[in-house]
Amino acid sequence: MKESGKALAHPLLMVLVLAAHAAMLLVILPMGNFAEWVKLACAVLTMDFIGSIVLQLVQRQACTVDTVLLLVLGMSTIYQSCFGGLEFAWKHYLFGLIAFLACQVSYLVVRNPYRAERLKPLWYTLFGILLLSILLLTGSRGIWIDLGFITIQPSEFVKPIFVLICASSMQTQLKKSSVLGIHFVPDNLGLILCTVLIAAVQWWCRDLGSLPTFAAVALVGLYLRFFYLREKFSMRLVVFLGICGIAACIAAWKLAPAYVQERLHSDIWSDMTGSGYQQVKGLVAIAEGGWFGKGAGAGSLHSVAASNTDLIFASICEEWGLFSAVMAVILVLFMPAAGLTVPPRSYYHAGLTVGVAAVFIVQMTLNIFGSCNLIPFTGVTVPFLSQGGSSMLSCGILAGFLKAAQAPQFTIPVKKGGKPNGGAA
Amino acid sequence: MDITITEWFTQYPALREGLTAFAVIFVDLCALAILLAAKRERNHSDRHWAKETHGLMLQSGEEYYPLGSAEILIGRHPAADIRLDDPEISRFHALLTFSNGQWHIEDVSSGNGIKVNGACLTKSRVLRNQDVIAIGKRRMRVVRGDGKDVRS
Repeated sequence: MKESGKALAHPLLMVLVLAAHAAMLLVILPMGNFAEWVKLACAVLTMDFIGSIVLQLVQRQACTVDTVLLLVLGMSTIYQSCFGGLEFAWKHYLFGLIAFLACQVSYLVVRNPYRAERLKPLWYTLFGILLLSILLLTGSRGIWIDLGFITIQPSEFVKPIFVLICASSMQTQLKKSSVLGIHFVPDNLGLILCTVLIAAVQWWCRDLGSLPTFAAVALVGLYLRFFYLREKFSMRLVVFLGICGIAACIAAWKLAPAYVQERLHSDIWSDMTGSGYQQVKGLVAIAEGGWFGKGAGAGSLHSVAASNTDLIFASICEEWGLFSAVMAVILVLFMPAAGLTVPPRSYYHAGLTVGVAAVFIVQMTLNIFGSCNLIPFTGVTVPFLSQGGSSMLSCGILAGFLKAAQAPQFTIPVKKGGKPNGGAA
Repeated sequence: MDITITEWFTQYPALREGLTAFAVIFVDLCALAILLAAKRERNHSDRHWAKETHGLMLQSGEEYYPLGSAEILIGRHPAADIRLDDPEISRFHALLTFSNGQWHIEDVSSGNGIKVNGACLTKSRVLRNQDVIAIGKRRMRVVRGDGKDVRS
């Protein structure tokens, strides 16, 4: 599976990742509970070691995304283990490890854009199965499937599938069908139908926090299809779509459920012990943390519900300071940024990269701005930093898409008995 | 020495801040190194692409069109990767694709067709070095080049 050509193994990068984790572990050493510290240190450093070996085995041509992923996963495991006293967050660590492996698997699946495009019927099928599971298995319009030993949020897994559906190659865009004299691209119709379906299901199960993420992915997907590959630029189409978008926003605003209306209009400072409790506590924690924080384990936000998921930014700010929290956020954004630094070599991979960038940016914006009371609280997680297995796994798969765009493979499988192709020049 | 972490940090706030800053500096260093690595990967990606695609490019008179991605659209439309301003050329005329180490050319429902080495193109065919593509009044020769991105 090794790539040909000069390998770009970055042993120095891995040493720096190890050093950064070791420095963070040193900072929390005075917290006491030495047994837990040893567990945490061994786990984080082992993940770095396993990561570097996997990188050597899977591919060495582009490892920026993997290096950032390993750095962020180790950092988030240390953060999660320190909230409210040092205790190794083994669940978070385990899901982090699975996310890293999921990243490698998804990279191998989509690194060949021709094969990934051919698998589109499979993506549509998986999309349908996941929507059905949301409708049938979550029970009473919920978003969780309780398997007893574990709870799964199927809508999280819809995100990578939806990104795969949004990406499209030039060849697919040039294939047109005609029904009753109306010309259309079947793949574009599929994307529009999927967008409508996911919006309807999310509305039905009251998971409105994820709607902006899906809307952002659909918008960038549609932009790449209708405006970059446009056959005829139409100002009327832009105006029509703009009016439709504004009308949809107004309708959503007016028809939103009562609890959403309450969040949109509530003043958290007038109801500090009620609906504004989490945000008030979060804002106070950010302010108390200052530049360098109160110290790992010395915060009080851990007693508030969802402190390690929805309020993760405020929790890191409180214990580690604004510098660390902003750095963690920037590092997560490094992943799509690295994917955009090395320009994708195919339209399909370009679609995947901007789709993943849309997911990461919108989710982080919703979470952080929600914590800071700039927008209503949505309950969306920060990729890789918040606790949650479904979110972690889904983000790991998305990171694999970014890696695929950086180290692509352009091979059309030759049928058995077919004549292999020769050189080009 | 039975002292809690909160008391410890309260007693020595400067040391606590120094420790956190120490960790942040290491993370920052790591981020900086990753940024530099990303830049190096970009250069490596360009070289790898040029090698994989045999550095082929299209030449039309004095103009050179490097083939920087696996799908290159040729046409009159502003969105085309290689834009040729000629009324005989369709908005989206030809598509070059790269797979299995070879460049292929196919007609994208053009009005006036494509000729490769004087023969009309009826289905997708492989492009080789020194092949001549005729699109409208334009003649484009496949030549070896440096493989820079046509969209940059």
